[in-house]
Amino acid sequence: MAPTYTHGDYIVSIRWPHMSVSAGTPVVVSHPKFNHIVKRISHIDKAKRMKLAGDNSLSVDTEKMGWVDKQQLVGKVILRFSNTNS
Amino acid sequence: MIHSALRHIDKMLGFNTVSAHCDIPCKIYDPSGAQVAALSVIRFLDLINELADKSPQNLTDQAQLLRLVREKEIHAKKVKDEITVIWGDYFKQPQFEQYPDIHQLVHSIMLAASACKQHVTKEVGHNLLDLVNQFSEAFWTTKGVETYTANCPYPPSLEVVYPKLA
Repeated sequence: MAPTYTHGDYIVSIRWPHMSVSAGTPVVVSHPKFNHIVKRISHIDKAKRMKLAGDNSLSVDTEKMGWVDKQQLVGKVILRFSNTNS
Repeated sequence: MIHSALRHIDKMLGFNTVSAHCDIPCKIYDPSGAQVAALSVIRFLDLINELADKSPQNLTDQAQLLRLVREKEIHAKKVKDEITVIWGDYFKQPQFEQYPDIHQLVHSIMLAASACKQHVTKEVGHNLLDLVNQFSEAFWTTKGVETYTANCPYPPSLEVVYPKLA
């Protein structure tokens, strides 16, 4: 997710009832293959399933991560404490 | 300062860790596997054609023919696999912008590899190697590595694009 988040950063992610997310929102997801990951939502379909993307060109492809259900959403990233700039 | 304080708290409480990569970022890509496989296809085509000139053919020759055809198909498939992995996993938007024709080239390689499975003429093998060499040149250019062309030091002794690493 560089340059948005870099190794060693602290982030705060929260999930609350009726939380709204949209394309572009950075989220923490419990992924069946990649475990807990932080990615950005790239697309949401009518069934509220999400596709994810990394900010870095070297990120794993959106298609490889597949569709993510709302139940897999751990939370929305609301704060970040950079390893270098805080 | 906040990060430093959080790190201390982290050591005491142990925050959950999330990954931003979510894959093994090995970044190890090299088209040489595809080039060697394409050369192997040509070598098998040569050996198949040598057998064709032999008459009469005994059981050993026929067994050898079967073996050569089988290996030719396996290596043609290997070219496809090696190229599609680099194209699918390594090439991303910056590389596509650098080589907008790469999709067409990869598709041409797929067709050429299939032709190598379907036919036994030398031309199909040479066409495959030529396309794979073009792909190799594009790949190394995206990595800022110069290339040169030289005959491979083993049969079928054809021109191959190599990275200039030193």
